[in-house]
Amino acid sequence: MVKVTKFVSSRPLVSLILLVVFGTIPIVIWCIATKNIRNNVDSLTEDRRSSLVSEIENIGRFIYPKTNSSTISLAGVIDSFITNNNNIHFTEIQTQIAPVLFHAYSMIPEVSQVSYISTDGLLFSYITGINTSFAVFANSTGGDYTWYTQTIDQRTGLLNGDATRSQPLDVTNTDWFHAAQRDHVTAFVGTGLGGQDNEILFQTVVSLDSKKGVVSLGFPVKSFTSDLNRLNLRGGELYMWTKDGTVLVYESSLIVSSFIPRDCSSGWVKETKGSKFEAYCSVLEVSGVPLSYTLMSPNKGIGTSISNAAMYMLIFMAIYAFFWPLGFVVCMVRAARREMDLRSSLINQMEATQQAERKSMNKSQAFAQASHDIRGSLAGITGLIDLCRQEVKPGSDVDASLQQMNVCTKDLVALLNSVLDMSKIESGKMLLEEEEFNLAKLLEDVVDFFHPMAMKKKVDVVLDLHDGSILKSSNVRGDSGKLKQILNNLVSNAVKFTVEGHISIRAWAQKPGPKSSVVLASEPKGSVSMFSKLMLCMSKDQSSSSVYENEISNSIRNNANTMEFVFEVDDTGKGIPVEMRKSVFENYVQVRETARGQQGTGLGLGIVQSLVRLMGGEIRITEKAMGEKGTCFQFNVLLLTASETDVNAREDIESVAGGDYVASTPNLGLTINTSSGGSMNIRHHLSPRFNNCLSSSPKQEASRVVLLLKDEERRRVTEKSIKILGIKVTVVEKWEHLSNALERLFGFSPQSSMESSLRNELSSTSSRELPLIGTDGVDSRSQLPRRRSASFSAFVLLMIDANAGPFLEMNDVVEKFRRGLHHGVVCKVVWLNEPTGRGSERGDVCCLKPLHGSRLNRVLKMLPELGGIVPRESSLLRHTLVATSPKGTTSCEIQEVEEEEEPSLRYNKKLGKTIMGPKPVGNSEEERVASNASCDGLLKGKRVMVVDDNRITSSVATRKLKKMGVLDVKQCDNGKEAVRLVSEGLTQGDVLPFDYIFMDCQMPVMDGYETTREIRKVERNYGVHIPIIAVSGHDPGSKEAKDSIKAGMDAFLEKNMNQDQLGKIIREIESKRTAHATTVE
Amino acid sequence: MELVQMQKSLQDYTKSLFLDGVLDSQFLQLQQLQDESNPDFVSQVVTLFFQDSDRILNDLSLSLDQQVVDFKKVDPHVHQLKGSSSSIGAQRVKNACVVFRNFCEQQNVEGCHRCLQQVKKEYYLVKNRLETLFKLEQQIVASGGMIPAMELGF
Repeated sequence: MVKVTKFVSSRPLVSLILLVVFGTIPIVIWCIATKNIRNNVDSLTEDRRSSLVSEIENIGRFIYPKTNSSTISLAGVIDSFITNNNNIHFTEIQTQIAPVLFHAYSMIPEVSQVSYISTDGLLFSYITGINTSFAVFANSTGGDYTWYTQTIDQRTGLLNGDATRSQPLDVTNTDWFHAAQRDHVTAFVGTGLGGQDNEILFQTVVSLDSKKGVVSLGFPVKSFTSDLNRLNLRGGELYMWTKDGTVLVYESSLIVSSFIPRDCSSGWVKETKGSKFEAYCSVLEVSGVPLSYTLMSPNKGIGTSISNAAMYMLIFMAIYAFFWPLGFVVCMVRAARREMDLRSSLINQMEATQQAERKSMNKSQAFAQASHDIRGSLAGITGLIDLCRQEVKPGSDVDASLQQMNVCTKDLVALLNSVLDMSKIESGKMLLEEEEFNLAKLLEDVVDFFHPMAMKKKVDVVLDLHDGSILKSSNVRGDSGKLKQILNNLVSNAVKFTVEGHISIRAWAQKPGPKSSVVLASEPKGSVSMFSKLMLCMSKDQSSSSVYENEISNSIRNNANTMEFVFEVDDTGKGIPVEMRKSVFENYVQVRETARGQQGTGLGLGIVQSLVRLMGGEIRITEKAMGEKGTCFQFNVLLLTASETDVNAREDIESVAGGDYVASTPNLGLTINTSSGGSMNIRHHLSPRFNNCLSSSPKQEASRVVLLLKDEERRRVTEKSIKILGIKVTVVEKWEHLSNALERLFGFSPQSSMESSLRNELSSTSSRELPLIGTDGVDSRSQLPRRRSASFSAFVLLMIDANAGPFLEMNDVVEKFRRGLHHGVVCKVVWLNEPTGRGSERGDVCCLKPLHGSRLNRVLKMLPELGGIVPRESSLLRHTLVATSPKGTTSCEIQEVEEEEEPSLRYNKKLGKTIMGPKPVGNSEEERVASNASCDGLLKGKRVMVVDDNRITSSVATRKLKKMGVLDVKQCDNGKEAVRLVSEGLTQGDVLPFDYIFMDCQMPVMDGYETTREIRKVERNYGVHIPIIAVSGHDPGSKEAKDSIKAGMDAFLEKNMNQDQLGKIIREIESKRTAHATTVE
Repeated sequence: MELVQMQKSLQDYTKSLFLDGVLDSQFLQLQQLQDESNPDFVSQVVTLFFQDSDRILNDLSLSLDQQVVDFKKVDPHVHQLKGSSSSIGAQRVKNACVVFRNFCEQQNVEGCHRCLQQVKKEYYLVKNRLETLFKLEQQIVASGGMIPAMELGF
């Protein structure tokens, strides 16, 4: 943390230093460069201006260079003429002065006006007009003062043309005249004396020495201005004006006249404010006339504007350079802060998580402990209730209450067990037991158990064995109890939430391929569930347990005998919303909307999922097709199929009757075709007689089963499972169609029923024309004649659901049909769901339990194809099975009755209960008796050693064992002693010094594990194996229990040495031992 | 008449022992193990228990009074006591021992002392009760009666 802050806080500092160091260098360079540029530009503009000024001055100086002197000299010449005469007349002027004037006019370059004006007003002047020259003169003075204008001869200067009057000017009174008189020489800019276009001239006036007049020369301003205009001002402006303010030159490309400074003194450079111009003022003397001019140059701003631009640029750059790193730093700081926040929150979260984990672990431990204690107390309560009931008069109110209390406690225990299961799974202590069981029977049991409950709600529970693959490998090894728990949970859920329709339970087996849908819960890749993750991360202990789980499932998977079994529980209930499907498997979750009014802890599916995963499978909710109601749970488990030897043994028995089974009846279907090769198939569940019949009577008439079942699903499933056996099935959907269908099939009609046999042939012939409902795909018409000719009588089995219609009417139809049958045809009726037993009165079979699996097979065995002897009328009664109460604690045991007369079935009984006979679910009483008995037998005459440091425990155990019939109990209070005793016994040549050793785990000197290891070492030399049973105060399934197995002990027993458990363990060890012995042989 | 009454009171007394949680089903099993071939089995075992427990408790008090408590010595004692108490079904002693062992694991001297007191208390309680029980039984036997079999449906 500190490091981070340091790093972050140092970053802006570094960037600031960088900014300062690398920022100042370019600024300095920048400043110098701009300064240079500005200086250069300034000097350039200065140069340009001064050159412009000198050009202007040159023009002014050289355009009329000698006007003054030439005027003075002219005046001198004229003076010399005039001095002689005091009074000059015009004629004199005309004759004497005019030629001089003309001479001057033609001699002086550029002159445009030469004139002589006498003080009294006489005037003679030559003026340059357009294309011509003319003279203006005044030949008189006084009142009739008139000016005349007359063209002249260009060469001589003589007047030629007509004189025209023109407006006279009082010349003698003008300023310039006076000034000339006074100063001798004067110059001004003014209009000329006449002419058509009286233009503005530079005029130089010189008075005569005699003071009798003045001489003036005029030069055109126009040529001067045009010269100036020819100058290249380079964007500047030039203004020129006379002293009295007459603007002579106004040259501008811009209209900024208002800014022209007129007051600037010569030689000054003045900057006008707010203007981009720089004014240069000076005075230019042209032919003696002083002219002020101002040169406006636009260059004034170039230098400054460049520096301004540079400054702006610099500022911009500086700001940019400043803000960019600033922004960067801000971003970095913000990011760092966020990172720090995240880190701290992560740390907090982690702490919280750890704490929560610890808490939850402690909680679940406490939970397990508490549940355990509660279970103990509950056991006490049940015991006390039993005690009370003994003292209470049976049948009294108290007795009833006690009974109810008993029920309540049992419920509580069940609830507690589920909670305990949960906590066991959570703490990874749940272990799978392994035992051999019949999967098909288990499924049947489950369905049978829920069937009455569901039937109360008018919901049918259908067992669908699909392709019968379960039957082929129904003997499996695995944890039947847990599998049953899973199925019970799912089915009870389905029953709970289904109001109408049906619940079907499908099951099939498949080879566990690499692509099988099984996902191991503890597999690292793939979809590791939240739950298993949680389990993984809970603690080391748990993770080791999940590794253990992994081992189990891997070992299961890798075994060649492993089969994958897929189960589906499909209901037509409300269904689970899609968004709830994932969370449904979490603990304590119930779908609120659907669970209304239903009880439960919400633990069920969570336990189910954990159990399924424990068995190496996965559970999920499969998608149903659109419009289909309900939920479909699918799960798969991996189970070991029964070992080969078992199967072979069974086959041997079968083959006694059947010999070689070669399929010869083509229409008997798949089962028979595979019979010769497959090691396991449906034969195991059918009598050998069946197989016998299949091979021996190929021409035998086919029997037919007519199904009238209310529930569609059951109809479909039953039909399929019968068809798989190769029996023809006709399905009738409604009871109204029953008589019709029977008529079509067998030529029976209610009308003709009385005429029985005679009519039967006729009608059966006529039935050829009728379309048949034969669903088996075999053309029934072709069979009808054969049936008639056959020596073997056909068999008709009617399976009728009593709920499908009114019983009496259906019965009526059946009765009529029976009466109308051909003599050789045997008809048998099986009533389903008929509680009153009315059907049985007539010798029909009644079945309250769902008709599937083994029960269906048993019913079908009545068919001749499947080994049934065509029942005689008398034996029919004996098949009758009436279940008197709907609860039916003992099922309708068809086989028990059948057993008596059919030797073919007896072998099934011999093989044990696993194959035949639905056992009531909860008959543990019987079992216990059996186990006790066998337990006593097992230990009778054995020699046993009890190793326990606690003499009390040891003596109690001894007593217990003695009570069980043990011949000799050796007590031994520490491990060393035990090892010594064993080795002593062995060295003395005793093959097996002790049959069993009961070993306490925690002992001083040498503990149970160590002792066991030692004993195993000693044993090895003699090639014997003494079963050692660990006895400990811990739970079976705890770490200690596992340790004990690891140490080499054979089994684990709780300290109180429950007799049942002990018996079970002993039997297990014995069976292992014998199995071992046989394999050795 | 008195015999019947005695039998009844014995039954009541035994039941009260179970109800108080002093004894549990293990004790019943012990009683079931007692038969003609071994008529004094229960009292034998219980006497053994008393002897052992007296010794263990003594040892425990001694080791806990040491300046430096050696928990490695204490724990086996408690374990033994726990085993034997659970064997005769002295439930409350056993439970106290379980707690005691936890404190031992935590090496909590203070807790251990408290637990020792608790264990002693429970032990003397069960000792008292059992002695009373045996006295009752002896009285019944002395007056020629049968000890009624207790059966709890565990």
